[in-house]
Amino acid sequence: MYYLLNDIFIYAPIVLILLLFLFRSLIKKSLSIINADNFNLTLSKKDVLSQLFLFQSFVFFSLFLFVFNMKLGYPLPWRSLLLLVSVIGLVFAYGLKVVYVLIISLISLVVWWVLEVVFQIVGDSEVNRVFIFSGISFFSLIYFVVGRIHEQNIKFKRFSLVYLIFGIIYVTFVLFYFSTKAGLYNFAKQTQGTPFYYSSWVSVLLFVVLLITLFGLTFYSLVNNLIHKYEFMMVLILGLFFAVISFLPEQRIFKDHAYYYKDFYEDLLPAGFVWIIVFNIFSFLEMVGIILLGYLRKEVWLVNIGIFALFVFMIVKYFDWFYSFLYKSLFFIGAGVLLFVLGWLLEKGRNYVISNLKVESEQRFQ
Amino acid sequence: MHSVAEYIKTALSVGKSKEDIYKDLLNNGFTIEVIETGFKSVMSEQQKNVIQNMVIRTIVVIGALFVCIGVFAFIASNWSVMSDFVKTACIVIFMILLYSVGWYFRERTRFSYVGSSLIFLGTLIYGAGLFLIAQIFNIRSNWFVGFILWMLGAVVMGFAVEIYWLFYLAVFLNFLIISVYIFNIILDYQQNLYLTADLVYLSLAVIFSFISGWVIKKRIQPEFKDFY
Repeated sequence: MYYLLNDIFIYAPIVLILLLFLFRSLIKKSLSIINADNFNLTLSKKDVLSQLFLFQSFVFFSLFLFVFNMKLGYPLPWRSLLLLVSVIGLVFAYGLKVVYVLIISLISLVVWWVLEVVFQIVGDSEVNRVFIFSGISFFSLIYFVVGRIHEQNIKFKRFSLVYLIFGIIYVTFVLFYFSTKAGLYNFAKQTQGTPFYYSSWVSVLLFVVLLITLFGLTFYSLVNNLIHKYEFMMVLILGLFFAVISFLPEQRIFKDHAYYYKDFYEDLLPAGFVWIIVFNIFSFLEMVGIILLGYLRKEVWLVNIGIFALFVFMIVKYFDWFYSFLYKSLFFIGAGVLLFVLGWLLEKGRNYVISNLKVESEQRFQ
Repeated sequence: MHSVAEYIKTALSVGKSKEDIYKDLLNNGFTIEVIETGFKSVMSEQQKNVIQNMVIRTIVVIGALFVCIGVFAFIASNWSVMSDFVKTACIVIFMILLYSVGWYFRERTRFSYVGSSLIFLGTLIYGAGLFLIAQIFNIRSNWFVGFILWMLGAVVMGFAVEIYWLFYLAVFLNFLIISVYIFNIILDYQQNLYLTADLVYLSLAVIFSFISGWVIKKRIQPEFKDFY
């Protein structure tokens, strides 16, 4: 097992880099869907190279800190070291404008938060864990708002793209995941137990700080006209939604706590039906909201992401809901027809939205 | 037509803009179609040159690789009968030869691609030489120390001769070091003596990577200055 893992760690980066090199033009084309108004994350080949070197120097520095901490007998718990590394990374990223370091620092900040709250409640198996998903969602919404704030300064335009993408991706993913069968089973499991505010005060404090930061930043952005009022509403509604599900008591979603694939609809209780509807509606509206946001902000890349997410949503829903009902041959014929129709509708809708954006921008310049 | 293409080529080479060339030719009585045909023939000739250069570069790199494979095969088949001195001398002489010939081709002849390829090959030999010398003299050290030293050499050579492929090699080596180092930390976390002996090399990796990134950043085109 050791040698297998050793081989994977040695050969995986080589294979990955070779694949990235061979398929670079395909990757570039795919990434162009998030090409925000012809603005890329990297400016030139020299920029890529310098960013890579600076990123790697930061990673080496983090490794140095971890090993040094080990040598000194762990004066700092490694979770605190992770927070320290994240903060240093953010300072490094903002000081030298290194996008790759920003990405890893933002991720490690979220990882630190999750590890910290899990550590606080680890001895208490009776505490429900759904507030952890909400906490990560708060981070995403905060990143989204910070992304909008950064757009005002050209020096941080690349950073704003990173923040916005993080903001959109996790919230879309978590709503979508909980709207699926597997997600609902997991949601039911996570809500079992006492609410988290009865457990460690540290986890409550970490959660509340996040909540206050989110709403504080959102209101600040609205007051200073840094976000559209529609975006403000979206962030507010999603923030409240995730806050509410964190503070809910135990949810009886399935009969006899049946958390395995027996018969999904037979085991579902009335509360379960309500949650299915809620999550599916929220997920669908969130994706439509991204498309509308792209239209209102005149950002083609948002429209593209929204349409892509909606496409995946519909395909997965089809598989999730109809796979066990239909004969397999009918199922796949239906899937093929659905793909064609969806693709046609979405492309038509996308072209309509984008052409309207172009007409409006031309009219502005006349 | 031939004179139009010639005029366009000459005008472009002295830095005249496309609009000025169009104006001059229109004033001399040429039609738009003739001018556009002239531009097309000049562009296709330039494209042919680019493709020819790419073909030459590819052939030369393949040739260098074949030479390298041949030499390695020769050395490998006779490795066990060579003395330590001969082995070390082979590695050092081969490396210096590649660097010298590569520099000569790059700086003193018009075969700069050949020169760059030879210098790149020399850096690969330098890396291989580090591991071979460690093996010959039974130097006990963690294997990723060799990769860190290789990376340092690639970076230094990259700045010396301004060949960006050497920086890409250094970046690749860094990724390799990072992934295996993390793996070793996860598995060997209790054997802190094993890892902490390399703190010095980690510091070197931090410093050299940072300096490389910083210096390359300073050389980014001035039109992107606003983003920094």
